[in-house]
Amino acid sequence: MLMPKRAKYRKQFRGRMRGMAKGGTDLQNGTVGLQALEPGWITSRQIEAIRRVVVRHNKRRGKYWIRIFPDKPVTAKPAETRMGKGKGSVDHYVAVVKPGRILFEIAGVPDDQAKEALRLASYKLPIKTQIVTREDRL
Amino acid sequence: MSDRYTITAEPRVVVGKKVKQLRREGWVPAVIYGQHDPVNVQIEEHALFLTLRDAGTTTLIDVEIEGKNRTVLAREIQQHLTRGDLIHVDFMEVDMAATITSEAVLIMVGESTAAEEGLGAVALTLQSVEIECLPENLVSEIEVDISQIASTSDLLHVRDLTAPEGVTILTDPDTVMARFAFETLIEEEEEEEELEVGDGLAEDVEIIEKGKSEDEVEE
Repeated sequence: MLMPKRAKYRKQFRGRMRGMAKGGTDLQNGTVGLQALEPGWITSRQIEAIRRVVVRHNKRRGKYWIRIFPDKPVTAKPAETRMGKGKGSVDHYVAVVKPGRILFEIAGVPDDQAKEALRLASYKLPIKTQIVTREDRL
Repeated sequence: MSDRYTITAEPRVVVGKKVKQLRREGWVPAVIYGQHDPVNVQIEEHALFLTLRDAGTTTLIDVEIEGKNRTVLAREIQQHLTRGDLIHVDFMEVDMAATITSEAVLIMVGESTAAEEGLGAVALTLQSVEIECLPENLVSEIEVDISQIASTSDLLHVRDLTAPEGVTILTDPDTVMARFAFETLIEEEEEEEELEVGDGLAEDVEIIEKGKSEDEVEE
């Protein structure tokens, strides 16, 4: 699963997700992509789930690009632990996503097939998404 | 070379944040700059959308403002990130006697022998090239003949493109624009999936130590 190799600090504050995505809002390589419509945290497990759906649906043809990277550590306390005693340990990593961000791109397969793969993949995500193509932008 | 489009615009006095009101009323704020002083204009949204959908940023557009025609190119089209609504358009007025630089989208034509054999597919690694020409010679697309990719190791470079008459391609000729990319994907994916069965642990992430590194201390 995707996660950073090195980090400057072990734990982070949660932060806020206001406004729209500042970059990564256009298709770079693919012909069809999945775009976020809501802000949210996408875990590395969810990214891996999308990747598997896309690879299997396209029968390992074509090429895909994951446009987000889970670089934010999320901490959790162990089960049945009393409150206090400081912040929990790092549990998993997430990618912070804002509306407009392209999450995933596909090329090298027919557009219909790519769209269906991304539709199935979108069910793995905790946020609303839409499928975008190059023709959608003027 | 390409057809021209015509659109009617009105002079605009509303500027700044107040243009939100214009957008609510179905207008799109735009600016025309280039040969003369910049002019703020407003254009009906639906008509502008239809024109830009066909013309893009590479076809000449005649903008009629109070009976006067200005020949322009759409240089920057700002759209809402998710809805795609037009927010603002920059038009650059062109001098028909001077060369201009623009972008031409690459379009794949033909069939690659290697792809026909079912080994994979050919993909463009470059989506567009920069061109220089007179405004009347502008092209929006340049065709890439992928039948030249006979084997999986063949590459197509920008120098392999045939530039239309009167058009100079400015992009570096040695840039790779198309290649046969996906033949080895199956093996890679299988290996990758096996590797990823075991979860990476959050504790595996190395934390960069504070202070000077050992090398720096020695110095």
